[in-house]
Amino acid sequence: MLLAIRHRTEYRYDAPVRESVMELWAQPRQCVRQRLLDFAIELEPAAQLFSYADSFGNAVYHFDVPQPHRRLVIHASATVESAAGAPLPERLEKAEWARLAAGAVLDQHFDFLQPHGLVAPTRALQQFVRSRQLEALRADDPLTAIRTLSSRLYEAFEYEPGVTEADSPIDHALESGRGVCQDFAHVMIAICRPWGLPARYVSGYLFTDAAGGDRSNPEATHAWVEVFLPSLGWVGLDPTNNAVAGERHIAVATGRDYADVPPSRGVYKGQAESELEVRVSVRKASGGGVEVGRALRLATIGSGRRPARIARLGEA
Amino acid sequence: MPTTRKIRDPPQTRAAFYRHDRSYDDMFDAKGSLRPHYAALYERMSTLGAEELADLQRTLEQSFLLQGITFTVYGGAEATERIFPTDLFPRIVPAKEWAHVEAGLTQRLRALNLFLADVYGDQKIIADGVVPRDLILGAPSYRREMRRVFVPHGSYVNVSGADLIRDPRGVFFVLEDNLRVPSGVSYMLANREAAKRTFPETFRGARVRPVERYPDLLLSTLNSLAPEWRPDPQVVVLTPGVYNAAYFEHAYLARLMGVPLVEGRDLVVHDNVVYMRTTTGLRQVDVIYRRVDDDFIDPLTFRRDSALGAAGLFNAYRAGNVAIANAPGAGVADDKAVYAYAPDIIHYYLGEDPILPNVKTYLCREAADLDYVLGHLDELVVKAVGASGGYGMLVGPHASDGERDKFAAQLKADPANYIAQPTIQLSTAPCLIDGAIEPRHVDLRPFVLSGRTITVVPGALTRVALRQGSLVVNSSQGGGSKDTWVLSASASRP
Amino acid sequence: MMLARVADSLYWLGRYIERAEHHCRLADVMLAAVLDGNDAAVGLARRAAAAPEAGENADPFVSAHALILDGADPGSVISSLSRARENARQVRDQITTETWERLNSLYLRLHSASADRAFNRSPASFLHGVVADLHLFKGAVDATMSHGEGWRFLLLGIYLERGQLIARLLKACFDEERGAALDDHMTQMAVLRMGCALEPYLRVYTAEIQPRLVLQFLLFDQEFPRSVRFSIRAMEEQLRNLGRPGAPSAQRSLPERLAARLSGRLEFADLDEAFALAPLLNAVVQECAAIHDAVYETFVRYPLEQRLPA
Repeated sequence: MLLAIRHRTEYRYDAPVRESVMELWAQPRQCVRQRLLDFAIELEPAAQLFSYADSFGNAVYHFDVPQPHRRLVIHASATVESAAGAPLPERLEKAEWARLAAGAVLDQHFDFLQPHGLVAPTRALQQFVRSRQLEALRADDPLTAIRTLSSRLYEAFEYEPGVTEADSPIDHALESGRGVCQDFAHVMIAICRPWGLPARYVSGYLFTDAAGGDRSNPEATHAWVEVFLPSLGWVGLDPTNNAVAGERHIAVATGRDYADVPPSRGVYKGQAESELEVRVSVRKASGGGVEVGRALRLATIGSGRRPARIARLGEA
Repeated sequence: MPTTRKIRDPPQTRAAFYRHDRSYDDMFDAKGSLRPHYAALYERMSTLGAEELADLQRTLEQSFLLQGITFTVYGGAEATERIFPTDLFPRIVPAKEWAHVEAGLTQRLRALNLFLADVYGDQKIIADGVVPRDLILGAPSYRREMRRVFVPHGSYVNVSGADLIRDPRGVFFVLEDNLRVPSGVSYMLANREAAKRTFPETFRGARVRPVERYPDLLLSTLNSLAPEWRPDPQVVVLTPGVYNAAYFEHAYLARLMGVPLVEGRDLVVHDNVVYMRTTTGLRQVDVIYRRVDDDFIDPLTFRRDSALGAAGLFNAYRAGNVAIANAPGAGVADDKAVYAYAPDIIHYYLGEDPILPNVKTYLCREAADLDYVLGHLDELVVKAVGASGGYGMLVGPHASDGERDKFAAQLKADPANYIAQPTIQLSTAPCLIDGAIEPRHVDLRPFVLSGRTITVVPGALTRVALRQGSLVVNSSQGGGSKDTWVLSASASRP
Repeated sequence: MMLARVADSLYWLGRYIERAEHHCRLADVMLAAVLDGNDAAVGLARRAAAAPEAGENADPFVSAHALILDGADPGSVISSLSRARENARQVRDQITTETWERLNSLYLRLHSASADRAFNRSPASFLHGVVADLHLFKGAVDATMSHGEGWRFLLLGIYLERGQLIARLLKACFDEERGAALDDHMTQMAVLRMGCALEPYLRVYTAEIQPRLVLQFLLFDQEFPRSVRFSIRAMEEQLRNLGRPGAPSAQRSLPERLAARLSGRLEFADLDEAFALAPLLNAVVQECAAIHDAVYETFVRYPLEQRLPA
């Protein structure tokens, strides 16, 4: 599926602010299921863009705007060719649990097995797991367990924007029974990790199929969960839409929780209230006219050597 | 020249008033004989009457107050400034003992720098099972942002100030490594100035190695961190500001190095380069000797609510456009639990036996150790892994049953947060206490610089537990300090 | 090269030091006038100090004590010195130990438990001691600090404050409605002493004190370092050296141009104009405030985007 993504982020301030410094996790990943054909960021006011790869391998762009401004607009656009990936098997052997407990898995995925930040084993979570008898799912094989868990979460929560913030603690959603994709992803991850399932937060976009039952707001960014199963690798599950992540899911960044990979984050100086407006559109692109590689330079993870003098995007 | 001073033959053995316990004493040996390297100082001490001593002490304190060598105590309606209590008598370390300490600290820092490069690089020591993975990756002081970031010369710890103690046999142990932003070096320098004025003749005769080069050694260490394309680097000292308890030291070091003392609000990061605001515009900064904790250096990357750093600083650092000393994340190597592995770390990277031993450490995260600790609370010192400065600590032998019970409950609730060590009877040194010369427990904090090379400065801050019998030397808990004389190898006096 | 924040602190250090010295002198003159039974001089000192809550009828001793030692009053000497020291502490790496120790010892003395007692025992010798210490401080500034950028900001603060304070003093003393009070010799002497000008005045004009000459001296004397003209000229000189000396005037910084304009006006003013005094003195006070703002805009709080490296 060839998808064109437009992601517009606008910060508005009620008084001029200065020295804005921002970081963006906005560039779709290159991976087996997903090929990035084109990516560009435009900024208003204009600023020099820099990039690096964070410790999870995500591309991060950053820039600063020193002069006073009341508005900061970030246009990110990408063209991605995605594939559904090999279909998942019906089920796995129960022995997969033993493979998960192997030292190599524990070592390699240490970060995705620990509580962290918004992914915390709170009292409300324990209460939720008990009341829904979710522990019983572990009697099945791990693949079945996580698929069922994703469906149970889909049923347990109402999708309702505005009840929670992107970085709300999971207790808000657990107590109100409502929330958005970030909340469902955090809850699912928080349940998976103590079960010994490496689970990570995926930030990205969804080509929404409302007719097919998707609940997600088509004009927002999306988030879901990936669980590592030794025989399958990372398996994407979308508890918001009761789906397995497929060709409609465009992954941008993965981390321990939302705070590791927010679409944008920044600080500024000045006494002002800020307002954030995000608009996302994900459309099918026509196959013909895509120009590959415009202004595209993938950030690479550091080598541990002294970096080149100044790494500027677009410089040779 | 006629003198009215009462001349006495200085006694060569311990005076009856010097109530000296089982600890190793710097001045007298176990049989009560005067150690030869203390002879000159003891002779001088014995000629001074109580009144003269009190006079000297007053002059000393007055000079510290005047110089503003103070820390601020908050509480009550108004903040008050106090001097860090300073003892009149220097502590003397003979050349041979110092050579041992110097070799030990150099070895240890080499190994710890290699360890940091590894845990932020390939993580071989973890893969080889020498240090548990969760101990490192689970430590709050481990900074994932530092993975594969270039660190000049592999020197993560540019300034360290390890705390050493001596057991009753006189053996030096490393108690803590202090790799984050160790302080106290200004007291080392100020104490030396004061001691030279108090005991000029004794000082001259003793052939004491100089500490006065510390500022320029520090500056050349910092200069060596700048990229080679910045031949005349701009170094700055970053302070949290005038309200920080160690502000005096920050200003002192900046002044003695001749570099600007900046606060976070003086810095601005633009296009991945760090600048400071000067009267004539922005000027690029190449090396930041920061006296601000990791958490606060960059609100973009670390704590969002910090106003003490500069937004974007870490990105400029990652891009190699500025050096930060000590490197962010260095603290993972002085975590109190990681400390227990220091001998293994030295073996692993250097293939050597540690020259300076560790104090036996029980990791309460391990069930067997926890059982032992709970059963021996009355003999152990238990410390919270994340705390410093003598807080969150139980000194078993000095605690009441109630305190021990309370602490045991905390321990059982969160064992991974605690370690325990046997109570070590710290060594003692002569101090002036209410006009009399009495032994008090001390430790030793030498300062080690590491850039292109490692330098152990021949001197130290000796911290003193001023309360009789107390083993706690922290300034926040009633400790003081004294000058430390490291003697030259070719000292003329025996 | 100097940090903008450091320049700011040194500038304020200069201002607070000068303010503290001036207020000591006002308190001293006020108490001396009480001994002389000279109510007019007491009133002038009170007005010059602009002691806000101290009414005309308050006990002069109480007023003077408050002017010196009332920590709650931001205009008191102890408050000025606390702020001076706070600023000095912020830039402790920039000033010499000799300079710092003079200020710190004075600060410690005023804050010690015995300060009150010492003041009550003999206010005159107490104030004499404080002023002498402030002179030692200024001496250490001149004798031990490099006469570079930092020193210039410190002196800029001293002279800007002094120009304003003397202009205010003259406004208070030569207020047209109350001018009559100045016909008495003792009061005239008191005015000169408030400006620290008695002895230098006598050397120029002898002991025949005339209000017109007092004004001439404190406003226009070329050589007396506390005259308004001298202060403004000294301030202009510091600003000229902080900018680019020798550059065409259009390229000079805004504070330098403002200071040069004010200095020029004082240079060619004469007493006849000065006897339409209020506009001139008001101009000095207002222009000093404008120069202060311009100093901030130029050196301290300039817009970042205008100073980005190429």
